[in-house]
Amino acid sequence: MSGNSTDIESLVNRRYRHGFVTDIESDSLPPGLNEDVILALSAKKGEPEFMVQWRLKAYRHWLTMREPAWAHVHYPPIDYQAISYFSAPKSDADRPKSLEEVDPKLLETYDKLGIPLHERAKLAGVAVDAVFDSVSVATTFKSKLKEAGVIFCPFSEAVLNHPELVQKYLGSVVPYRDNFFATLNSAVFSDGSFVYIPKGVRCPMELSTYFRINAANTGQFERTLIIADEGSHVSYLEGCTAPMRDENQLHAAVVELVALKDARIKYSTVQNWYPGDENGKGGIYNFVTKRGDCRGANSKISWTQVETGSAITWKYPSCVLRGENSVGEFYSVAVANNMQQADTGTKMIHIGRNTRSTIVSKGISAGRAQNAYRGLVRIMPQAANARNHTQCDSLLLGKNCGAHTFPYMEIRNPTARVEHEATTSKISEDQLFYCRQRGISEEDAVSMIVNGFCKEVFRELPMEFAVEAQNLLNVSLEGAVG
Amino acid sequence: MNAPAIRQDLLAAAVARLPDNGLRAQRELALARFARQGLPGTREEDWRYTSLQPAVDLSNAWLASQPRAVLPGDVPSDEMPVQPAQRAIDAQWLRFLNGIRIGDTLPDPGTISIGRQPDDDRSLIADDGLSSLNAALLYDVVHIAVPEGVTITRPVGLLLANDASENASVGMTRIVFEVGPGASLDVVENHLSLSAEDSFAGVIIELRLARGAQVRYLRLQECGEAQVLTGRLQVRIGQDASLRYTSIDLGGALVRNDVAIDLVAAGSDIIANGLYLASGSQHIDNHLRIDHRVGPARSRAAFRGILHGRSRCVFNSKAIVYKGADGTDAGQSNHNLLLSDQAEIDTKPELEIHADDVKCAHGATVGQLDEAALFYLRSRGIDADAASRMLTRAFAASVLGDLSVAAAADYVAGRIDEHLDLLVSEPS
Repeated sequence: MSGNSTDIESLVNRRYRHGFVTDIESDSLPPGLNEDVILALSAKKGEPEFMVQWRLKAYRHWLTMREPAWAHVHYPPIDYQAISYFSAPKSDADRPKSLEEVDPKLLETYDKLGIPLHERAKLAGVAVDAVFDSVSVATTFKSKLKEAGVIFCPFSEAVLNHPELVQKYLGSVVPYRDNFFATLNSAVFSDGSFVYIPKGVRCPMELSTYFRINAANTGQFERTLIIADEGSHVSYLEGCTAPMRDENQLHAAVVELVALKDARIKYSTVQNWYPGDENGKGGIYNFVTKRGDCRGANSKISWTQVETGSAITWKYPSCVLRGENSVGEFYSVAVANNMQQADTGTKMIHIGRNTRSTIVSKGISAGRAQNAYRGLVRIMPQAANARNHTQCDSLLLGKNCGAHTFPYMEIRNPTARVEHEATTSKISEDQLFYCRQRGISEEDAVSMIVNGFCKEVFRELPMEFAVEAQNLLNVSLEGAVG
Repeated sequence: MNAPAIRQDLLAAAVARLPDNGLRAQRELALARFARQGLPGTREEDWRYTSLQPAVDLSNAWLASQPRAVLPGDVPSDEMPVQPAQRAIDAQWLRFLNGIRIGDTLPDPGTISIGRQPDDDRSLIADDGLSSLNAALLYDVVHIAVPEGVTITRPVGLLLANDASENASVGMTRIVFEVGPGASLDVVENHLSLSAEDSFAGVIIELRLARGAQVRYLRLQECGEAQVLTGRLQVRIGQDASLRYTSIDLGGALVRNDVAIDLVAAGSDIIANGLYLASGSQHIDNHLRIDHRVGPARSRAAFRGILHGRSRCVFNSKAIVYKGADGTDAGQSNHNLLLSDQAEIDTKPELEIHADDVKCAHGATVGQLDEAALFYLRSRGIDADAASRMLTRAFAASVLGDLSVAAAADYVAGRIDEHLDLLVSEPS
């Protein structure tokens, strides 16, 4: 197997493709965090009083909290006073009204990322609310969405234009006291996306946002809130890439989903932030709180994620299955290479009767990476006939990586049926030999086998994402076998 | 609330009252360690579902009563009535009352040697609070050795009885087995309570298997309804050695059983299985940890639970495969049957893997009796009670079929049947 080790090395050493920095002036707050910073941040955005108070409440609570240490990840202590809590591209006041008005340098950035924004938006019917650093600069297809009554806008706009919705739902799934990183986010969140789908509306297109961390030393604190009113449907896509950089960057996002009666939300993520170099230098710290609340009967929330980036991933997209017959799903592929550390999984909290959940998690470890699945299935006493099936498989590529599984099951109802199965293995010599014998190169064979391993998850992704995900996987892993 | 606290001043006084039989220095060391460690609280990951508060309360009440150290001479060897397991299982029984060995019969004096732990053996001192508490309050350590190449045909029985009737509500036991190269041994560990009063027993058993040794080990826990029991079996497995372990939990109010198996050389083979039956307000917690330090080696763990009433059971298994432990094959499973609305099971089969040439799998299920199977039996004229008894028995049977110590099979099967009958007839 060592015959083509030079190819393998060259592939392993391939530089991060999306690593570059766009030189645009940023309007930043000085580093540091105190109540004045929060007031300044809030004032910059012209937020109403309830928002200011909510941020302050969160900040004061955050001061009483300790950073969690239970995850299977290691990193040097983060200095929260060294982070600048606001960074927006300049000329915030006269924001572009259409793509033509967008700073061509920004568009160039998207080009480099392989996201032909306008073309893709038209061709694929995708509305893109692109977040460049913290302030959304381009929103397309607004009118078409408006026709359907769908509200899809930057969070800061929603705070100004739809305060009643924001006030009603913000923090109703992830309360400001939830956990260290979510509380920090509640205090200092910069911007994000807001989606409201009215009763009975099937959102006419896939909604999509591209997050991108740009200015150095700027923590990103995105906040996304999606509300699907009774009988509505929405599919939301989120994809991320980030420029190459040597200093670790903190990202603590919060995503809240609310599905009312008969509503469906599908949330897909492809995360490809800078993972750091082969020695673990640099890379994004991704500490994210994502939670969906199936509030109404027959509602459904489905999380699909492909996690290939970040130095550290700490992320557990969860479903609270409150409504009767509600359904929660979690499909995940997590890839960790080099010195990456991933601690990811889900929580399924069954509260309503006849609730069902499915968990499919595929973890791939290579290099010296650590990849952990951590999941909780809790069946409350009142959740009669609840059903869960969990499958988590790990694939190990290399001698120095680790794959771990920590599945918690807390069952308090006798009518529940809960199953968990997990396997850990490496790519079998037999499979490789079979492919090689048929003239398939080792690289291609590994890629085929890995893609097959992940297929169950990929087929849950919207089509254009599935293609992107497969390419990503190939880039992240090709050559990691030796 | 984190660690529940045992009063250190009272504990120190109790330790000082123990006779100086060579263990004093180790007890003092353990006492000092315990002052730092305390007992684990529910904020600690390994204890998140099990609170040791009842053990703390019992210990504090007992310590406050200024108990005099019990000496072996205080316990007449004929005081303890013959127990059912002694009658039913043909074994060489060693009897322990509240942690102190009674009676002087030596089983197979030619082959097995029983003595005191050498004073310089530092294995008493461990990193956890429960072990330190055990070491601090220990009267003695019993050391059982099987020499190289000897096959012991009659099992060694450990009768671990607790009697809290005379304010002896806390008792600590420590036993060390040293099984020589190529030796073969069966062990039956039987826990029981002789009185109905609340009591707390802490038992630590060490099992050292030299190269090629074979041990079949059965733990049969039949404590009373007021017993708090924390048990720990620490196993060190040498090259090509094998262990068959079965744990059966039938009684106890609060039971925690930690089994830690350390595979330090290649070629070892472990099978660990268990069954826990819980009803009323019983709390039974089984923690199993297998450290695969070297490969190739194989481990299989399969535990089953049947829960009734307001009982709560916890199962946690953890297989750790160290870097370079290639050729490891580890499998774990845990299946649970919930028979009542208020029972709770918290299960977590964990894998931590740092090597790539491994085969690891785990599975866990929670469910209830299969409606279709029940209907099938009833349609053939079997009444509901008998049908559910039949199905629960079948559920438990796989553990019985794989019982580690064959000599105990009939007795264990009978005791499980009795318990299942009680369980199934109890209103849910």
